Amino acid sequence: MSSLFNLIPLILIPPLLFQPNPVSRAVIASGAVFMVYLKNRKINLIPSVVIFTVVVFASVLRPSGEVFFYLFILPVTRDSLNAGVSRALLLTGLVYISRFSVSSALPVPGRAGKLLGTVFFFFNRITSFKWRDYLKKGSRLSPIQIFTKFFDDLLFISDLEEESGYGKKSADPETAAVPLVIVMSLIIIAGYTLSILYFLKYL
Amino acid sequence: MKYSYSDRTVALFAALCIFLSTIEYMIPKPVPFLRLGLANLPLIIAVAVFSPADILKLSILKIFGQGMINGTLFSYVFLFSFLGTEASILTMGSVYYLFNKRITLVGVSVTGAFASNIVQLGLSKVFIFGDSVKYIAPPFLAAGLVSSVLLGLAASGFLSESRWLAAHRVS
Repeated sequence: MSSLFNLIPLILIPPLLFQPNPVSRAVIASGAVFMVYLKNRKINLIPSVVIFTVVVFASVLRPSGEVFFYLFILPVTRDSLNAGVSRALLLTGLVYISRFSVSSALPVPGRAGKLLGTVFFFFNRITSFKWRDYLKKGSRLSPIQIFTKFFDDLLFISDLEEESGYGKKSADPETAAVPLVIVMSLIIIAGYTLSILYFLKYL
Repeated sequence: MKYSYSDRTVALFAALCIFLSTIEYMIPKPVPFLRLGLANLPLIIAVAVFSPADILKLSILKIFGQGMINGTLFSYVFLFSFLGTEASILTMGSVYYLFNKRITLVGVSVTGAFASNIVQLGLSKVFIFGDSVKYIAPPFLAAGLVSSVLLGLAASGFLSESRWLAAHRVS
């Protein structure tokens, strides 16, 4: 049930993707960021801010339309700024909607699901490895030798193991918090309303 | 050379790809597109160790695993990762078998990175940067060249020094 709840924000993808208005995209993208914050109670915005800035800056490098202002010697034009912000909001929105909806606990059926389960089982094992001790032991080794030793050990351990339970564990909440449901509903309603207004040429 | 391995080995390679991509995510970089491509290291090794079918299987596990761990399965990031990785793996596999395995893993790595970068630049042009992609392309390709040489050297080092590969050599 919880997995299905997490997939609900995917219905925000069409209004985000198919209308380029920066205002609608800003509402949906910021809503998606807020939903991820409400779900996880922590969020690292720095990578998204960096990506946002790079996308907008790259767009501004190619002037189009009237000059809005000058950034040192660079003329910032209205059309290229609009296009850059719109693209950056689309990218940010999609990433956060996806982050809300997807986790390693997402059920995948069949043989592929079993193999993915094995991948996550090994991934959990690698992340729980005592890396600091490992690096101390290999301090006289080159980075390539440390990697070789580490990967070799993993492969040998894997050989020795019996086929065992797969490391699928759910980190998702059993029930959705009430504020999250309200926020999600509001964002979905706002996203679709703004899209309709855009297509009716009110925006 | 041929090696004996199982589906579990392929899964372990995929897990290492995902782990390295997580490590890479934590390394600060001036621009997000200037990646080291650490997650491709197991793929480069796999070209010399696995069968073509298992290399493809590994690449798909890597892409979906990364998408699920990082939560980017329904975003452009996934599309970039999917097409970039598949272009890279198809090029690396083709070059490796075309040259009858006489090409070094550095060469394999460089061609794979080039293919991946070209595909990702194409996607960037369509979805993100538009014509401004020409400003991103030179540093992106240069970073790809440097990192792919380093990764190729690491993969070659593993191939020559690994005790596991020596123990699993069939022919």
